[in-house]
Amino acid sequence: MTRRPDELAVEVDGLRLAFEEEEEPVLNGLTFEVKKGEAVLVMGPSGSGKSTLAFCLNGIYPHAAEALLDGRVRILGQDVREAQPGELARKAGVVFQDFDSQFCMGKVEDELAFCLENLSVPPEQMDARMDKALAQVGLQAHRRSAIRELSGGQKQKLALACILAMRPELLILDEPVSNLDPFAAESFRSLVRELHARGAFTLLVVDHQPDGWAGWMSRLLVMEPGGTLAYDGDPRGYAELRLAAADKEANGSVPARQSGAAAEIGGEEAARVERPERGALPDAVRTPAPLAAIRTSAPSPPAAAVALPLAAETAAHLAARGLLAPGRPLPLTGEELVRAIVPGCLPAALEAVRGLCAQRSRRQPAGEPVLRLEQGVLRRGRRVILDGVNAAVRRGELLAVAGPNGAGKSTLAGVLGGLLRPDGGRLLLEGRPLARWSEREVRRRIGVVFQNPEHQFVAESVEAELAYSRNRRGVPAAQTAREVDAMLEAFRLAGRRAESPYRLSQGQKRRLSVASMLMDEQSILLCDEPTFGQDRHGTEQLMALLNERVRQGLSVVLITHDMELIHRYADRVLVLVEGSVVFDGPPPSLWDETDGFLASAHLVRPGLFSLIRLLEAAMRENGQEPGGGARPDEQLREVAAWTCAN
Amino acid sequence: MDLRELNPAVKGLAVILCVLLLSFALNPVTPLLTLAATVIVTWSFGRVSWGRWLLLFAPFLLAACSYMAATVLFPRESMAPSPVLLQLGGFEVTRAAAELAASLGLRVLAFSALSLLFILTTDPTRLMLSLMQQCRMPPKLAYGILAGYQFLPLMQEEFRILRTAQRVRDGGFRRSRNPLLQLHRTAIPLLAGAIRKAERVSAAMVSKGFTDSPYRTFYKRVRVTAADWLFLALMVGIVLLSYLAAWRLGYTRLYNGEL
Repeated sequence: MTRRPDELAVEVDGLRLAFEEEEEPVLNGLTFEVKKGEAVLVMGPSGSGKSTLAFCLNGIYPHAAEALLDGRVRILGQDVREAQPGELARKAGVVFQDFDSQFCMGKVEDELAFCLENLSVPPEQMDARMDKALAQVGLQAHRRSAIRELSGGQKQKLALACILAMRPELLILDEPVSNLDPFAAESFRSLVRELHARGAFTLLVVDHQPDGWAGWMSRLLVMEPGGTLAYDGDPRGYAELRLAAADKEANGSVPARQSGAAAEIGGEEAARVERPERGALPDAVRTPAPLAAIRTSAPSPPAAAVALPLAAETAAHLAARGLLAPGRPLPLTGEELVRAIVPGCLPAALEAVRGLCAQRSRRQPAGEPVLRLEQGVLRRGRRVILDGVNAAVRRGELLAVAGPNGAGKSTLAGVLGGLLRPDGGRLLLEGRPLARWSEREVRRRIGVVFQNPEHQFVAESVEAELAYSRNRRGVPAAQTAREVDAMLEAFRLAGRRAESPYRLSQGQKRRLSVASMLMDEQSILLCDEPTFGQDRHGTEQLMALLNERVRQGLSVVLITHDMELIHRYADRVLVLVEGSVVFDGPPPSLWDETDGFLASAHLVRPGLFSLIRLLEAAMRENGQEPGGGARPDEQLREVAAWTCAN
Repeated sequence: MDLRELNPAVKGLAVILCVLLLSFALNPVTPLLTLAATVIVTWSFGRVSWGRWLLLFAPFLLAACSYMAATVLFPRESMAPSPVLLQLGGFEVTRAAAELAASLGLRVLAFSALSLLFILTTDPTRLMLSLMQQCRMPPKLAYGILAGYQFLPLMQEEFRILRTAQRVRDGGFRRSRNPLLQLHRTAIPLLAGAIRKAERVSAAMVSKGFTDSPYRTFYKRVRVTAADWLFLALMVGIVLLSYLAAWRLGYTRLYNGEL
C-alpha cells in the first residue's frame, strides 16, 4: 500500500507513546495512513487512547506533555517532532469535547480574530474570513455576541467556525457531540457532513457511538485498550465481522439467545450479557478470525466491543427472520435498512422492529407520590425560571426530566431536593410541606447526585466517604462497617476501598457519589445528568445499579439528554421548556408526538423509534396503512393511565 | 471625551503618574482637590453608574475613616505642640494631628478614586490588546491572562455548586469547625477542576495555531490619539493645580514617611 507522500494527510508508522518512562504506553504500535480528503471515524472504549491519538495528529503531543514518542507521525508531509508547537495546528485543527473550556476570549468575533491573528492573516482580510466561517456554521447573527450567552451546541459550532476560518487541511473532532443535547448533536453531525462534502479537508472524528457518522464516513479505525488498533477499514466491514462473530457465538454456545440486535436493544438483563466487564467476553466476540489477522500486536487484551450502528444491528435481527433481501450490503443507516427489506415484507419488518421496542421489561406500576411540587414558581431577578410547575415523584419509579439547555431542569431538581426555596407554590414530602421537616430529616430521605462527582467528595478514602453521613449521625461503628461493606460490594468498589476518591476512574467516581447518597437509606434520589462525562460502559453500569434500586422501591429523578436511557429505563418523562411542563407521561407517548413538538423541546426520538417512523413512511408510500397490529405503545399507555389515575 | 474610548495603556499611565505625584503630598488640600476632580471626571466622562461607584468606593471610605480616627485620637508623641481644637472626653484633638489624619486619609481616598476611574471604564480585552500593542507585552502572557479572566464566572458558579453539594453531604449536621478541613474540602475540588480546565484551554489555544512567537497581526488596533494625551495632561494638571492651591494656602510640607 505505497502511495505518493503528497496524497497522504496522515502517515503513522509504529507510533508508541507513553507519558512516563516506566508506565504502560497509551498508544502502542499504531500504523495507518489517511489519504487526503478521506473521512475517518475513530472508535474505541475509554482508555484506548483515542483522544491521545487526536492530540498527536495535530502536534499538541509530544510537545505539550513532554510525552515519549516512538515511531513516526507525519501530518501533511511534516514530522510532528520537527514541528514547533502550534505550527502543525495551523494546518490541522481540533474541536474538543468540552465546549466550556475551548475559548480564551469573551466575544465571538474576538475569538475568531484570535485564530486569524495566530496565522498572521492581514487584518483587512479578516472580516471576510470571519463572516464566511460564521455563515458556514450558521452563526452569522451571533458575530458580536458574548460567548457565554451561546448554548452548548452553538459553542461547538463556534469552535468549528474558528478552525474553519483557519482553512485547515486536516480537521479533527474529538468527541464533539458527547456533551450536547441530542438535537444539537444531530444538527452538528449533519453540519460536519455537509462541510466535508463541500470542503477540501481531510476529516477525522473520534466518537464512542457510530450513528450519524458511520453511514457516510469512508473509513473506521477501532482502537482497543492498551492503545493498539483492532480494525482498520470500511465501517460496513466491521459491522459485518462483529455480527458474524455474534451469530457464531449465538449458534455455538448459547442457543437460546436471540440475535445481537435484540440483546443490544432489549432489557437490562440482555444489556448485561452484551456488555460484561472487560475480560469476561466470550472468545468468539473477543477475536473474530479476520480481526485477529489485522491485529498489530500479537497477544493483546480482549477487544472491548464498540457500539455498532443501530441500523446494522436491527438488520441482523430482521435477516434472522428472512425479511432482508439477500446479497445486499449490510445497512448502516435507517434509509439503507428500509431499502434492504424484501419488497412486500415491510409490514412484517415493522412488526419485528416494534417488537424490539417492547422488549423492555416493565416494572410494577409505581406507588403513591412521595414528593410533589404544586404550582412551583422560581424567579431569579426578573427572570422566571420555573413557571407554575407541577411534578410528582412516585414511590419506585424512575422519572426522567428532559428539555433544552436552560429550560430550568437543574433548577427543578434543586427545588425538589429542598436546596432552592420556590417563590411560589408548595413542595410536599410524603404529604407534608417541606418547611415542616427538619433539614436532617429531609437529607435522610432525599439524596442528590451532582453532575461532577468530585464536588461531593468530603473524605480521604472511599470507605470513609461512604461512612461519612452515618458517622455524623452517630450510628455505631460496627453497624456502619457492615453497611459500608455491603455498599462497596453492590457498587463494585470493594477493591478500591482504601483509595482516595480522587484517584478512582470516572465510572468509579460516579458510582461512589451515588452510593454515598444511598447510605442513609434515602427513598428519593435526584440525579443531575449523572451520565455526563461517562463512557457507555460507565453509563450502563450506573443505570443497571439505579434500576435495581428502583425495583426495590427507590424513586429516582433523572435529568438527562440521553433519549436511549429514557426509552430503556424511565417510567415517566417530564419535558420542561422555558420553565413550564409541556409533557408528562410515559416515554412511548412522547415518541408519538409530532416532529415539530419534539424539535421545540430539543428532543430526538430514540433510534428504534426513528426507524419505525421510516418504515411507516415507506409503507404509506407503497399505499399500505402502517397502523394495526398490537402496538407495544398501547399497552404502555394503559400502564400509564393506571399510574396517573392513582 | 469618553473614558471608555481612551487608550487603556495611556489611561493607566495617567493614573499611575497621578498616584506617584500625590504620594509626595502631606496636606489635606492637595488630595481633597484631586479627589473631587477625579470624581467629577469619572462621572462626567465615564458613563459610570453612581450606585456602582458608591458601592465600590464605600469600603475605602470606611477604611479611611477608621484610619483617620485612629490617627487623630492616638497621635505620635513626637508631634510638635499645637492648639487643641476639640476636647472629646479624655482625648484631645490637636490641629496638627487633625491635619495629618486628614492628609493621610484623603490620600487613600484619592488613590481609590483614581483606581476606580481606571477599573470601571476599561474593558479587559482592550487593556490586553493595548498592552501588547503599545507596551510590547508578550502575547503568551496577555492571552493567558484573558483566558483566565473568562474563567472567573465559571469558577464562581462552580463554587456555588460545590457549597450546595457539600451541604447535601453534611446532611443537616453542622460542618466541622476545623478551618483546615474546610479549606481542604473546598480548595481541592476547585483546584482540581481549574487545573483540568486550564489544561484544556491551553490545548485549545495551541490547536488554534497559537505559538509563543511575539509577531502577530491584530484585527483590532488600539491606537493612541490626541484625546489620550489630552486626558493625561488633564489628570496631571489636576494634581499640579491641587499642589499649587495648597501652596497658596500655606501648606508646603512634603510627605516624609509619616503614619
